[in-house]
Amino acid sequence: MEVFLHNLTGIPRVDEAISLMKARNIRGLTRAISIVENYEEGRDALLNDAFQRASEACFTLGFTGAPGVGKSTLVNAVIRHYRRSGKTVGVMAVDPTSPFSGGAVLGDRIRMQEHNPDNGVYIRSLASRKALGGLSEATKYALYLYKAFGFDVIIVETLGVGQDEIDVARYVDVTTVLLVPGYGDTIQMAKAGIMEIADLFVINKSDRPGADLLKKQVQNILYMKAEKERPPVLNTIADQNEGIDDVMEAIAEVRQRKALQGQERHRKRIVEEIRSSVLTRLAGDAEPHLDEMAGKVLTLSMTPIEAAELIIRRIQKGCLEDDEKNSI
Amino acid sequence: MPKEKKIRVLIAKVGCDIHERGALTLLTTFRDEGMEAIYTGRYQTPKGVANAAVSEDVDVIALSDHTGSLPIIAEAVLAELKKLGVTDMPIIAGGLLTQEDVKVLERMGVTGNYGPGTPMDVILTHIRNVAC
Repeated sequence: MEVFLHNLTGIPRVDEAISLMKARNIRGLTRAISIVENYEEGRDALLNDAFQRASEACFTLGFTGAPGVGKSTLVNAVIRHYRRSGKTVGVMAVDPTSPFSGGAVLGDRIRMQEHNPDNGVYIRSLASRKALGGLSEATKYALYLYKAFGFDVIIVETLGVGQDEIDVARYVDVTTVLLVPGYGDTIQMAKAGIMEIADLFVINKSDRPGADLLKKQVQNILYMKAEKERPPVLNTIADQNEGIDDVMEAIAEVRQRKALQGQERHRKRIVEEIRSSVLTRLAGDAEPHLDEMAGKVLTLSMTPIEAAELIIRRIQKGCLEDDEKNSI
Repeated sequence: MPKEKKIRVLIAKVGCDIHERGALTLLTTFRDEGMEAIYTGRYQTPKGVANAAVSEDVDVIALSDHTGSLPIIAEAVLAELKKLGVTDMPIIAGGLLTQEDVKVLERMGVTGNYGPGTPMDVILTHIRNVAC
């Protein structure tokens, strides 16, 4: 199965993007992601269509970890592995948006450049654009677009995360957490958050001192889990392609293990997606009121808590008015 | 809902050219200007650049080269884009250029064509013009 590139000029409209997607034309997908990212007209129609056609047969993989641990380099090696068996791969790579300028440097492609000329691999760099939790809002929706397009394997690479950005685990089948020697002591391991979401741990840059110690420390905190649920801990040197086969084997095992809880996980994911959509919508609705309310708080005519309450009431009132209009 | 259209720029280096400073400077400048800058890395093929540009749905391709090969690179990238059916993507270029190179590039439709010492404002204004 190849990803087709067809002749086409001009920027496709929403309906064109949908039919291009159906024809498995990469320009349809690429356009669709932009529409979702930019909140362009027709976004909802596009996503509804994608949701209905999204194939749950696509295997989704997540890679997360601190900046510079080698996520992109490992993903590059993983793509290579799947390409050897002819599977098509879609990759979403998220990098941070500057909270100061709103701009971004999207550099994950650099580590995956060997796949640039390969029509069986689609890589898209996404900026986080104000997202919390390590995934951009667009990433969550783009996942449906990728599933509707029907890649064999979909890989989500988060931006470099700290302790609490754990979104990715809710959206993919298997989550890999990357660590590097020097990560921290056993107390860091015991903390909540990112250490809890791993289906498997990869200790990358294992040619550096301390790799064995780190492996033992990670295993140590996992001994409390039942043996069958214990995430494997593996050593890799991703840029030298070392340890990748073991990682792929472990991923396959974890996938089988987790397939049993598939339905429950699917339900949780849907709940999370609805919650996330609602919160994004509300954040957008609140935005126009923020300046005014900040002014009121600063002149001491209101506390921040009261301001928040007032905004919520205004949004509710706006909704009621909309409903009335619609019912007429 | 917020309209969040951001200018997306692909900074591309084709062939055997190690001189990366220009590309890296542009990367951070574009970021500071609120754009989304994607970098291919060095030693790319024209086909790789064309694929990356289409995959990333960028508004502009910015070619950087310091080996005096920009006309050859631009021609090859344009040809690869055409194979993908993309004939309307703006391409700008910068690096080491002769006056003759600039003429050749402009005939191909490649704009900008900035040499060393070009003020950043000139480049930014040009990108904003061609991107929309």
